[in-house]
Order: sequence, then C-alpha cells, then structure tokens
Amino acid sequence: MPILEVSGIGKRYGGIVAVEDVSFKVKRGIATGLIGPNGAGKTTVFDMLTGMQRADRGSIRFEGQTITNLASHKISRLGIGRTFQSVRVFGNLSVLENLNIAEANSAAPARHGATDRVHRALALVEMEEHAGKPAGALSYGQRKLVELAMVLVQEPRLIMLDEPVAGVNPGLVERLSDILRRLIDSGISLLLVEHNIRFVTGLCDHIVVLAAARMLADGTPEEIMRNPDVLEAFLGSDH
Amino acid sequence: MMNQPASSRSAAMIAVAVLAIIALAVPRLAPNEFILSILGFAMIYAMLAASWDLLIGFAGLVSFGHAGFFGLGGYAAALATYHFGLSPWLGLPIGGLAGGVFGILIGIPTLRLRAVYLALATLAFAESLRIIATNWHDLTRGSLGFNLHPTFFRLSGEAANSYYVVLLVSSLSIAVIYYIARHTSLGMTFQAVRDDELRARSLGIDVVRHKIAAFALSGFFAGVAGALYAHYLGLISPSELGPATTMLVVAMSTIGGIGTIIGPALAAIVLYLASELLRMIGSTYGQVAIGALLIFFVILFPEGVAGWLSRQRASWRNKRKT
Ligand SMILES: Nc1ncnc2c1ncn2[C@@H]1O[C@H](COP(=O)(O)OP(=O)(O)OP(=O)(O)O)[C@@H](O)[C@H]1O
Ligand SMILES: [Mg+2]
Repeated sequence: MPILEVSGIGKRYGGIVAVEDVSFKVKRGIATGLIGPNGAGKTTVFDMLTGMQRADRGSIRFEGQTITNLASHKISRLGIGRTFQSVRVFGNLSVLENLNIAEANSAAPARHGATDRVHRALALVEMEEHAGKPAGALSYGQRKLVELAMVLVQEPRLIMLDEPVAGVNPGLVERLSDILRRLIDSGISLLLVEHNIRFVTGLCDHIVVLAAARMLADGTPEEIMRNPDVLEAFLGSDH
Repeated sequence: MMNQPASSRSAAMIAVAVLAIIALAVPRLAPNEFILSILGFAMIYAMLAASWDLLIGFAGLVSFGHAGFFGLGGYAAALATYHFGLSPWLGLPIGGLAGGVFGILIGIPTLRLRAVYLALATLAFAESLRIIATNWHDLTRGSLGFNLHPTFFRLSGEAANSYYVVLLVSSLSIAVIYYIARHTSLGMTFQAVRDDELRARSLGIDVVRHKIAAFALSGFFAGVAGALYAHYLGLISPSELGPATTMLVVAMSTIGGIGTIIGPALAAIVLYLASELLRMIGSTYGQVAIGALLIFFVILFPEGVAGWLSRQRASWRNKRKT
C-alpha cells in the first residue's frame, strides 16, 4: 500500500487555476520527486497535502486514512513533516529551543529521552555547535538544516521537502543529499520538490511532473528523462 | 534563559535575594501603614503587568482590556466573599477563575483579529464590564464601589500582615508566570505561535488552543491580582475597570521591557511608587508625567529597560571575548 494517495485534487485562487486534477501515489520507503517549471503548482500541492490550503476538489489519503482538508496540526501529528520553500524557523529563539518546541509538539513526545532525540537530530545535521545561537542569526543554509532537524525530531513517517537545496552552496547540497539518503535507508518516505534535476534523479526512484497546474508525467527517472513532453515543458521554461 | 552563563544567573539571584530581604524588612524599618499600603499596591500592579506581558510578550496577543480581567477578578472575589460568606482567602482563586474564564470567552471570538482590532475588541470588552459594574446598582452598589466584603485582616494595626500576604501572593505569581513563560514547553510554544503561526501549525501545534490558553492564563493572574486588590483595599469600584488602569499597565510593561516578565514587574513597582509620590507632592499632573515618561522611554529604550540591559550585557561579553 502506498503511504500517500492523491486523487484528483484541484485548487483555484480567484481566477487562477493553481492545481487541476492532480493524482499520484507516494510509495513507502523511497523518495518521490515532484518537479515542474516555476508556477506549475508544486507548492500548492504541498499546501493542500499538509492542510495549509483547502483543496477545492479531490481526496488525499495517508496510510489509508482520508486527510483531505484536515487541520494542518492534525495532519502533522499523524506523521507528516514538511519544510518550506522560504525556510521557516523561529528566528527569535535559539536552535535548541526550536528543536525543543518541535519535540514537545510531536505526535509522541518522549517522556524522558527528549534531549536524546533533540541531540540526535542536531548531530545528524551537524549543527551541535550552533545550538545556543538564535536561529535568525544563522546563514540561509544553516537555517535550512535547522528546519530539517525540527522535522526530524518529530520522527514523521513521510517528510515533504519544498526545494531543500535551492540557494545553498554545492558543499551543502552534497551534505543534504547524504542526509536524505540516510533517511531513506532508515525507512522514511520522502516527497521532494526541487529544481535541481541532478539532485532529484540522484535520490528519487519515482518522479511526478507537473506543468501549468496539471499532471504531465509520472514514472521512473529514466522514463521521465526520455519523455518528450517533459523535455519540452522544461525547455519551454527557463530551465 | 536556559543557556544563560552562570555569572549573570547568579547576579540575578543575588539581586532577587536583596530585593526579597528589603521587601521583607520594610514593615520593621518603616512601620507606617501608608508606606506599606502603597508598596502593596505596587506589588499588585507588578503582578498585573507580568500577566499582561505573558499575553503580549510571549503569545503575541494584544490586550487593551486588562483592566477588565483585573476588575472582574476584584468584583468576583468581593461579591463571592460577601454573598456566600466565604473566607477572603477563597476570593483569590475565585477572582483568578473569573479572570481565566473571561479570558477564554474573550479569546474565542477575537482570535482571528489582528493586533489593532484585537486591542479594540479587548478594550470594548473591558468597557462593557465597567458599564455593567457602574449600572447594576443592586449587585455592585454602582459607582461608589463595593466595600461590604470581609478582608484578610480586619483589625486595624495588622497592616504588616496584609502587606506580607500581598507580597507573598504577588511574588509567587510573578515567579510562576516567569517559569511558565521561560521554562515550560507551553511557554516555548506560545513564542512559536507568536513568531510564525504557519510553521507552528505544520509542527503539530494547535494555534487556536494555545492562544485561548494564553488568554486564560493571563486572565487568571490578572483576576488574582484584582482579587488581591479588592481585599487589600477593602474596596473595588468601576474605575478600576477603566482604561486608565490598562494604560498604566501598558506603560509599565513597555518601559520595563516586553517579553521579559521581570522587567514589566519591576517597572510597575517603580512607576507606581513614582506616581504616588507625585500625588503626595500635590501634583495634579501625575498622569501627564507618566505619559511623558512613557514617551521618553519608548524613544530612548525601544526594547524596554530589561531589553536594553541584556543587550548591553551581551555586547560587554562579546568585547571581553575578543
Ligand atoms: N496564495 C496565493 N494566492 C494567489 N495565487 C497563488 C497563491 N499561491 C500560489 N498562487 C499561484 O498559483 C500558481 C502555482 O503556484 P505554486 O507556488 O504552487 O507554484 P510552484 O510550482 O511551487 O512554483 P515555484 O517553482 O516557483 O515555487 C502560480 O500561478 C501562483 O502565482
Ligand atoms: Mg514552490
């Protein structure tokens, strides 16, 4: 059974059709890529999956349970974590406090091992030495790592990442790739929006392509890269 | 703060200990009923300012109706004590409960409002309470105020004991507010909601429930402060529910440093004593002086005195490191 099943979801903002009749499945234990040119509707799909925007139509099932238009904090507690395209951390609070908040509000906060959990997540993103700093004082890349650690500390079964390597330096791209590879190996399912195609094909076993609000293709990386419609959609844009 | 260096934490401990010794010694040093009563009211305002700061400084919610919680707590305590013959001690939790429940009732309909509108809505709530207290003559005795309830120590010559009660309840409450705000995951979560609601929701935080909880907690402590006031003074009147009370609290907290709890509490004590002093001197311009002081501080110390101090300390520490 797939961990996530999306069927026929759609969203309009006034006159703008942001997402139209999109359906796909996310398999358990692998990374699935969601790609498409700017404005294709990728973030809007994420927002509907996490309850941040209402879906006008269609249905979403997580581990067999319908979660369509459920409140976002409830969706989070079912085991879905996400990061944001414009990285979001609590800038006035320290890195450690950011992680503590995430831990305390996870589906099953640890009664005693909370600090262990927090330190494991910090160690995974190699941010221990910055634990006491205000998150707002960190570089963009470091804030992305903190945001990922906040999600990890909640131990979700599905993690959705909206452009995890956009705007970060090549060294950090490598590191993020390693970290995500390790998450997949540990059995976590990933759904990944990213413009860096090499990064996507390196991690994902399955790719879904959106263009102008609609599904364009759905398949293995090889199938996607050979698909003439996909090539045209990307060449037709600034990619 | 959790990761404060030991030196500044022990400095703070010493400061608190010195303050506590002075506060405890006052009845011996200056066995003067007037001085004791003024100090007691200053402590009550300190507690009210701390409760306001919990709401705005940590949950990011503006209340311009804090006088409403305060006055409601005062009336609830006085009326319950009088009508049901309860001990004045029970008035304290009753006042707190009244403030807390009122906080929930205000919180639910106003949560979606943004800053200015929330300020106006809370102000309107407090004003309607003031109008009710003024006009429901049979219950509250109207604008004269209510003074029939028994208080903690009825015999004269027990000013010191009453003072100790106020000192104990208010400092304990301020400590609890501080602890909740800075050292519990609830207080941390309030700050998360204040900083970024969307991020908070995506981490599984029920934003609405936390905002209501912040209103309830803040209202509770403001209500206890009101109950303490009604019993300490032996009188509660509609004017305590008025905007002047709220403005005083807003000014105190702003000057002290929003988001620090201790800053607003200390500023409240200083400002209250200053305003009483002005009144003693016979100045009719006390309110004007407070207003001028507020403008002065907002320009010179936009983060409040506590915020300014902690920034000075941080830059001093950095200088020493390099
Ligand atoms: N809140 C909103 N209100 C109005 N229109 C919106 C809103 N959010 C997105 N849109 C529009 O919906 C369409 C899809 O936007 P979306 O952000 O989902 O695209 P995307 O695939 O994530 O693009 P990018 O790669 O640039 O991040 C765009 O035309 C966008 O302008
Ligand atoms: Mg996007």
